[in-house]
Amino acid sequence: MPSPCKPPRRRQGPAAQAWSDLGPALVAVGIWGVVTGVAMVKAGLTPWQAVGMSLLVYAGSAQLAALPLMVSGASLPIVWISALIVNLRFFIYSLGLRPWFRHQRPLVRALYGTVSTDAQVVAIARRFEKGSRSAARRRLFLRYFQVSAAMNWACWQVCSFVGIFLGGLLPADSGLAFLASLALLTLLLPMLKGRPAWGCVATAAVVSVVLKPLPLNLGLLISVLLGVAVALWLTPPAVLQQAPTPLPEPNRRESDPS
Amino acid sequence: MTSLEIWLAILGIAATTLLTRGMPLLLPARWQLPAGLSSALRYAPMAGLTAILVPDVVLSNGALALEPSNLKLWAVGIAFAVWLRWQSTLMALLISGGVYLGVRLI
Repeated sequence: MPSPCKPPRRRQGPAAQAWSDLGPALVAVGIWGVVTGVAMVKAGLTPWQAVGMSLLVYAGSAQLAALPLMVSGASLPIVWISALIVNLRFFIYSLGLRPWFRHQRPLVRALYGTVSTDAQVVAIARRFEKGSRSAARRRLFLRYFQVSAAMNWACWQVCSFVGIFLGGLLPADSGLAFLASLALLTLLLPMLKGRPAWGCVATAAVVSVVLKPLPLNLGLLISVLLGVAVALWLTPPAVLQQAPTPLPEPNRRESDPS
Repeated sequence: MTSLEIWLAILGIAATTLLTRGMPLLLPARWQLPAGLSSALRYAPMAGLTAILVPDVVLSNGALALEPSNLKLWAVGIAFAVWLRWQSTLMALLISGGVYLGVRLI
């Protein structure tokens, strides 16, 4: 006979967790995708070149950094170096992901690294940095990573194609680009806990503004390095000796409903 | 740029994606990060997002724009306030984005 009591609430699986964590972030990813799609076509790329760039490069900030240089006829090495510098923050992100993929084959590891994104790394940092890397938890992580990467990739490509093929219908200054920045802010807000986090963000904010005029988007890379350095400096030595260290508690209402 | 140069540019930029995101995961297992650096890496995404976001908000044509007429500052303030009140990122995005677009339309 069925119990009249409500069944206990099921714990979320890693796929559902990925959906739950990255839902708001996908708004950001989608807007960035549309903005980048529009920018590529406005820069003079044919629709198929723009589609090729979206599929092959899959890095909005690097694409947006390279486009003005391509339009101005800059030499290829300058375009490549600029993209490399903008992308360098992912080198730091990927180093952080490395322990989780240690047991995967090299090609699979490279593929996973290549499809990782800002939004995904933020979500992973919030959910997985705390705790062990046991075999069972690694399996959960892998599933979470696969689902979140697939969501990000599909959302980015679809929205980028919308921008490429329908961008001409939007008014010239629709304010859409800033909505993408606003969406990035909402990724950042839940992480602002503790002195090291605030020190990191304050440093990166000031340095990124001061160094904005530097060529090749060097200011972005230097901001990341200095922000991380300040966070390290503000982290108590006892915490530093533990690796991985506990992250600030994830937001209970949104990130960990289980 | 010619069509060939555009495709070469695209392929080169794609290579930078592979190099920066894929390569660190191919480093040999014995190559270990110091514990302190490993701990600090969790702050890299925060710093990266901040460095992308802040210049877009506070700079206008390369100059500081901290005056009240800067709608972007208001939108960021509203997002912060909504986040502090309801701890909901989606609500923060919808309300601040809605206010920003609404005021621009007016």
